Amino acid sequence: MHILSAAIVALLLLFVTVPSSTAHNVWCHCPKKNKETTLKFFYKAGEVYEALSDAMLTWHSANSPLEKGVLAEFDNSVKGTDLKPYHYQETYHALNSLKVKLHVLQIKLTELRAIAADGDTTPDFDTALTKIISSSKNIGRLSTSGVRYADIGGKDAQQGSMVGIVGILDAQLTDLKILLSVLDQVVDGLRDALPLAEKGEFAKVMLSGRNAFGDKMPQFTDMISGYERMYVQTCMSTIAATMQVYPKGFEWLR
Amino acid sequence: MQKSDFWIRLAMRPISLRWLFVVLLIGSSVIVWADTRGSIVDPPAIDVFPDHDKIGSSDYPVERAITDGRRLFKAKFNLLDGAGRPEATGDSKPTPRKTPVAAFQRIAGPDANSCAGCHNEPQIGGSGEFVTNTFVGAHLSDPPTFRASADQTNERNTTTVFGSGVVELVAREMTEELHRQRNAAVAESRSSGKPVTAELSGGTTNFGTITAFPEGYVNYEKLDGIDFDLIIRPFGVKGVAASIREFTTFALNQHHGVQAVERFGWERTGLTDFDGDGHETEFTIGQVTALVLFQATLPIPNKIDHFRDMPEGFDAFLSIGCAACHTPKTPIQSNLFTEPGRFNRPGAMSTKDTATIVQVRLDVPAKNGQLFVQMYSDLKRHRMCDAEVRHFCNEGLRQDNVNEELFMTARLWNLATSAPYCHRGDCSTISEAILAHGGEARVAREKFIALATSKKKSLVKFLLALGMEQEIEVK
Repeated sequence: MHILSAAIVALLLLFVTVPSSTAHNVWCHCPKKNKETTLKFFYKAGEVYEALSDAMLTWHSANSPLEKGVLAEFDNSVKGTDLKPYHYQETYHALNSLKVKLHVLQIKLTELRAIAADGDTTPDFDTALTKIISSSKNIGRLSTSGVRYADIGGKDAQQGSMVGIVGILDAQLTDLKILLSVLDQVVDGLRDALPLAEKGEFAKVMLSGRNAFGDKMPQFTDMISGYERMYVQTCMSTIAATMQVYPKGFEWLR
Repeated sequence: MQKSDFWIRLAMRPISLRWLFVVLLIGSSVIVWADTRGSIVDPPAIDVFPDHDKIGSSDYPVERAITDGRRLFKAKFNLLDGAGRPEATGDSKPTPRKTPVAAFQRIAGPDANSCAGCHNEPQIGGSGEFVTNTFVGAHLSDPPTFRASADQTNERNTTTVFGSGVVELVAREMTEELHRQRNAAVAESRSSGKPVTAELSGGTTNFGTITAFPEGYVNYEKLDGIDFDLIIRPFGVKGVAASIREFTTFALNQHHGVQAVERFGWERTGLTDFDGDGHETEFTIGQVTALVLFQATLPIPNKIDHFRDMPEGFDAFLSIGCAACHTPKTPIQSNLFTEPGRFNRPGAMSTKDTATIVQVRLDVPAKNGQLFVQMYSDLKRHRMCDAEVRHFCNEGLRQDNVNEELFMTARLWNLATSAPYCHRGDCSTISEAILAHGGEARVAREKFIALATSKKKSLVKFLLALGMEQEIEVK
């Protein structure tokens, strides 16, 4: 009985202590001809994974205080309790921190791409990967037009087809750039709305649709979850391709 | 109670006359609609379909976009264009309506067939008289209000669109200047580790001060006459639209029930036919751009130095302090109008949303190589009433979080053609308009009252000459 209880507690602790944002638990794979560069790629892919996980944790830490700030405004109106504008400032800090973390991710991805494009390739892997990707359905790419939560109509973004591991990393970098540009607008929108928070007018101005932050935050929320999903889908494809061509690229593995 | 009992009792219940009327009305409407479906065979009023990405190319030069914009400005939108918004209010924020409404309703809107229906004095694009007043705030009501009282709506007179291109350019330049000043203060505070207070001025207008802190926060408590985002919004009596594009997308929905894709389309709202009128694409990005280009390139009023012709009037203007807010001359760095602009709120396309930036040169006057406009406005919001003089504070509804007592300084550059005056169009003379000034303008008003009659007449004569050349052009 005690063993069972301990097992349940341990299991619960595991769920509690593993942040949801790290649950995707996937690194991009790429077997190369040279075992040294294969290792190099995997180490760097791990750094990319860590950078994305770190960014996602920061993103989650930005959201909770924002809602707390809004709730404090509601309470202020209903119960006459104090406003808590510092919560919005916490969000502002966290979003600025997120910017830095996404830039770190950008650097790590750029480094990973350089390793991927170093000329040392396993052609069978790239062929298998391209085939898997081209048969994949619904790999959601980011765009500021032609997709839900875009602010504007106009032409759909040129999605292009992803070819090989370099194509995948290019897609991850391209979409990250879009993500960063929208995050800039989110941060600017919140900065301009902070004085409203001091007066307890944040929620009503946002809901009235008179401030850019009210549009940009949902857009970014949709985008960052879409980005994480795209990362997972594309990296899972690299794992599938690695397994399909195995032992090619892993001849040294005994 | 058995089921059959329920239906018998329901049938026996007395029905109120009001409900009977509603049921009959809806029923008859459905029958009439069903009978007439397919019998509307007129053509739509919109007959030009510019593509934003092609404007400026050899296939579709900017001049053609301007011409098409004029057609759109004059088009009397009809059912086939998607005019009417049965399931949406007139709010610029896409807002569904619970109570479907008729196509036209004078107070809550849609209240106009075309842009030119109101903007037409002394010619297309101009201002309008009292009969063209619009009812801001009423357009948000659901069910739609039929009352024009101050607790229901802020009644506004139609203003001119002439010169709006250069107004937007001046506003953009001022905004960029203000943003530079804020960013410099933030950077200086970060590097020095100390709070930095900076005076904000755009062009010749002072907007108070801000204090930046090393952590990146900015205190805006002493900001004056502008929003916290430091964006000059020159359009609307309250200064609520940063660009012609913003204003145009607002107005298309409010006045015509024609919904711009960029504001009401699926991407932004999640619905393909937000207003439920059966039309999915009512006004494209290219059509909005063409409409903007037409308005932006309308002639700039008041290019002549009237203060040279009428020094007495201009002296009186200066001596009583009008120029403190009604800045006679505003320098401008560039006459290159680019569309879209940078500072549009989501819902109006901005430079962030497109790679195609359309360019057109405006015919801006210059002296000694310096471009300038004589719009007689500092593009700042001012408090316009006090305890005694409250003419301007006749509005009960707050618009876009702008304090009820604050108004954007009116541009005087077309007074020759823009009667009646004041934001409600309820001042039939310039003198009445001056006497309506309270608040920050109270001192100027008192000085006007104290002027000798001859000087008062000189001042009014001078003001009535502003934009006179437009009148001459028409004649």
